[in-house]
Amino acid sequence: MVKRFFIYSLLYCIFCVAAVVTAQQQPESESVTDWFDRGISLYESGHFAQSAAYFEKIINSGTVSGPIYFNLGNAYFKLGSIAKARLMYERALQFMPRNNNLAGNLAFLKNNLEDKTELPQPSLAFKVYYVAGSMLNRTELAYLLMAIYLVGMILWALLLMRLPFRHVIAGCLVCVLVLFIWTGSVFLCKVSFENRPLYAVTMPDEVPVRWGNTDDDKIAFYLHAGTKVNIRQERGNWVLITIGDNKSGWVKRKNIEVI
Amino acid sequence: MAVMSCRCLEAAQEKQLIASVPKTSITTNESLILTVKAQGLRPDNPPETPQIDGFKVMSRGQQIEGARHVSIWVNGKQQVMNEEGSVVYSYELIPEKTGSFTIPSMSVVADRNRYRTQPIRLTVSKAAPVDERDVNISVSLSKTSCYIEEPVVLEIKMRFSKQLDSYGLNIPFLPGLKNVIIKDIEDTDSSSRYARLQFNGGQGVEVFKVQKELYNGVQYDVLTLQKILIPGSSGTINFDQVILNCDIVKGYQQGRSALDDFGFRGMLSTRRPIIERRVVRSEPLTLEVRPLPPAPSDVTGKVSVGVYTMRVDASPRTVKEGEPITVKVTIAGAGNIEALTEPELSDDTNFRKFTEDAKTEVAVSIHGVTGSKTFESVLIPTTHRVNRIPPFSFSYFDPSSGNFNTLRSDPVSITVNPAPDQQQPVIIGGDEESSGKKEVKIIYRDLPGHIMYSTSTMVTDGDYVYSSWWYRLLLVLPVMGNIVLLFFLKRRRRLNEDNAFRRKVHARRKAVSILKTAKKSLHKNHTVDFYSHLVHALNEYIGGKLNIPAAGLTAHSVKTLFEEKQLDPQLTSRVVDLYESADMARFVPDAIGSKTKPHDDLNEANDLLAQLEKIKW
Repeated sequence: MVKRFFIYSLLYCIFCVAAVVTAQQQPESESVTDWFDRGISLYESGHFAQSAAYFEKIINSGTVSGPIYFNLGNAYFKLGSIAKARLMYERALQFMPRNNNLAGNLAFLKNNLEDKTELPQPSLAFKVYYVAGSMLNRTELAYLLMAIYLVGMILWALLLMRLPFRHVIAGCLVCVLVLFIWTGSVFLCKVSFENRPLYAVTMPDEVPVRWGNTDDDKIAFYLHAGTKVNIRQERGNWVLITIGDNKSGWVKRKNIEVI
Repeated sequence: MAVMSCRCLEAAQEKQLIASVPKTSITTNESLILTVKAQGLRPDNPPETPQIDGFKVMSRGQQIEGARHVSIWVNGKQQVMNEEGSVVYSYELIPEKTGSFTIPSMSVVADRNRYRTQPIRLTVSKAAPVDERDVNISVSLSKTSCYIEEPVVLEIKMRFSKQLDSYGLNIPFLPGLKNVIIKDIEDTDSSSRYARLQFNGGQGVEVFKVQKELYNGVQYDVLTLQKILIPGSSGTINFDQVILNCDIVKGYQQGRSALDDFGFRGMLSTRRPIIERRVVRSEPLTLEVRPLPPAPSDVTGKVSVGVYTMRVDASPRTVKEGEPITVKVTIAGAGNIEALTEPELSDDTNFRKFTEDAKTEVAVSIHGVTGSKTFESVLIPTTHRVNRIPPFSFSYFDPSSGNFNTLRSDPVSITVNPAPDQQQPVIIGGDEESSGKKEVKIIYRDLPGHIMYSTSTMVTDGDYVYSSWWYRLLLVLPVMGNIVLLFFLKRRRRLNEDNAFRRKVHARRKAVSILKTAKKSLHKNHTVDFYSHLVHALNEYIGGKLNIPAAGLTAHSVKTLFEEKQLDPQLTSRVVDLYESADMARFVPDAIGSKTKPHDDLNEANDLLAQLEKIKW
C-alpha cells in the first residue's frame, strides 16, 4: 500500500511540475525580445539614449524584468541621469535581490551621489525574521511557499496512513507548519511593502525639503538627485519623507518617483 | 413693529467692500495700515494682497467685528435675527520711495457676487531725519568681496534706546539665499541672553543675541544676529534693505479719573504710554563673489578654498601581501570643511584602494568655519615588493594670499611580507574596527556590471505567479486529495475491523459471484446445482446484509426476517417465491419436470438483488 502511495505521490508531483513549467512558458512577444536585443546592441555600441528608449518601450508595453530595469539603469547612468538610474536599479532590485552585478552598480552609483545618507536600517530581529524576504524576490518566495506547502501536504498524507515512524513525521509536519507560517507572513509582508508606495527616489538636482506642506514653510534641508527616501505620509501634492538620521520633511510629489 | 426691526437690521447690513487708510499723505519713515472691510459679507476667500509699486505690503490678518443676534417677538413667537457683521482685512504698507501712488481696486466674491473697493491715491514724501537715538538698524558684511567658498560674516544689528511696544521685521535674504550656504554661529558664551524674533510675517524665526551698548553717549538695547555665508558660485549677491517697523514708547502721560473733578486729581488716574511709529531701514549691500583664478599646471583636480594642514596615519605598518592597511588622512584648518575633497594618492599602482565615508568635525564661530575632515580608506598591497605608502597630495586656494598651495604628505614606510598562498584578499562586512574588517566600497572608474542578456524572466507587469490559476489550483488540490485519502483510509480500517460492516458491504459482490457460478452450472444443464448456487447466493446476500449466518436461511425464515424489517410485501413475496421454486427444483426435480424455468429464475434473482440493494439495511 505504501508503495502504491509513493507511486501516486510521484505522479502527482510530476503533474505539479508539468503544470508549473507549462504555466511558466508564457509566449513572449517577438517584438519585445527584438527591442531588448536592439537595446543591448545600441548600448554596446555606445548609443545610450537610443538604447534607453528601447528598454523604456518594453516597460511601457507592460513587460518587465530585472535585466530590463538593470540595463535601463545602466543606460541612464551613462547618460548622466543618476536619479533615473537609481530608480531603475532599485526597481531591478525587487526582481533580482541577490544579483552581484546589480549590487555593484548600485554601490558605484551611491558613491557618485551628492547625498551620502542611508535610510535607517531595520532592527536585527526584523532582519532575521525577514531574511527570506530580503534574499528572494516575490516570485521566488511564492515558489518557496508552494514547495513548503506541498511538503506539508505530503507529510500530512503520510501521517494519515499511520505509518510506524509517524512520530517523526508529526515532528516534521510541525516544523513545516511553522516554516509555512513564517514564510507566508514574510511573503505577505513583501507583497504589501512592494505594492505600497513606501520608498521613492528624488529626481531633480536639488529638492527643498520643508518643515510643512506649503510653499511658505521654511526649508529644513535640501536633497539631491538620486537619494532614496522613505514615504511616511501623503497629503495632496505633498509627501512627508524620512531619510537617514531620522530627518523628516515635506517635498512636492512631482520631485520624487516611487520605486 | 417686527417688520420695522427687520428692515432696520437689513439696512444696517448693507453689503459693500470698503477700503480705507487713516491718511493719504505719509513720509518714508511711516507705515500705513490699509483696512478692507467686507460689510455684511462673508467672502469666499480674502482679497488678494495688493501689489503697489513703491510699497512693501504685508498682511496683518483678518478679524470679524459687529456680529450680533437680535431677538424679536412676532405673534407671540420669538424669532432670532442674525447680523453677519463685517470681516476686516488689514495690510501694512511700508513706503519704499517717494511719489504719488494708487492702491488699486481690490475685490472679493461673496454669495456669487463680486464686490470691489474704490482705488485710493497716496502721496509719499521724504521724511525729516529720524531721531536715530530711538531706534536704528544696520546690516554689515565682514568683507564686500570674496572668492567662491570663502566664508563671510553677515551681521544684523538693531539698537533701541526706548521701550518697544510692537514690531515687524522684514529680512528679504533669509532664511535662504540661492547658491549660498548659510550657517549659524555657535556662541559659547553661556552668560549671554538671547531673544527669538519672528520675521517676514512670521515665516521665519531667528535667535538674536541681546546686549547693552553705549553708542554716541546713549544706552541702547542691542539685538545682534550673525551668520556665516559661504557662496557657492561667482557673481553679485544683493542684500536688500532690512526693514524694521515698530511702535516705541516715547514717554507717558497722566490719564484722567472720575475723582479728578472732586479735587482728588491724580489719585486714581493711570499712566498712558505715548506710542510713536518708526520705520527704519538698513542700507542695501552687495557681495561680489569672485571665481578662483586659473590654477597652476601642477594643481589638478578639484581645489578646496581655505587654509589647511594635512596629517596621514597608517596602521598596521607590517602586513602580509593582500592584507588591509587602514589609512587616515586628516585635513584640518579654516574654510568650507564639509566640502573638502579627498586628497589624492600620488601612485596607487601597487595597491587596491577602498574608501569609506569621511568624518567631519566643524566649529562655526565669528572667525569663520574651522575644523577637520578625516578621509579613511583601506589600502591593500598587491605585491610584497612595496615598502611605502606613496605621498598624498591636497591642493587648496588661500583667499587671504590669493595663492594656490599643494600639501604633500611624507611617504609612510611599511613592511609587506609575502602571502602564504596566492588567494585574493576578501574584505567584507563588519562595522567594528576591532574585528579587523571594514565595510568598504570598491572604487571603479565605470559601472562594474555592464549588461544583462537574459530574457527568460520577462513577465507582464503586475502578473505574478501567485495570482495565476494553476498556483491557486495547486493550493486547493492537495487539501482535497488529503480529505479523500482520509475518508478512504477510514473506510478501509472499518472494513478490516468490523466484520458485520464488511459482510454488509461485500454481500452483493459475493452474491453476484455465486450467481455467475450458477450460470455456468445452467450452461452445463446441471439444474440442481444451478438452484443450489442460486439459493446460496440469496442466502449469502441476505445473511451478509442482516449479519446472520447464511447457512440456515429458508423461505420461511427469510419471510419472517423481511416482515420484521417491514420490507415491501411484494418484494418479500417475490423472494419467498424464488426460494420455494428453487427448493422444489432442488429437492423434487422429477415432480416439477419441465415446469422449471431456470433462466427466468436467474433473471429474477439478479433483478431481486438489484431491488434489495436499494433498500437501506
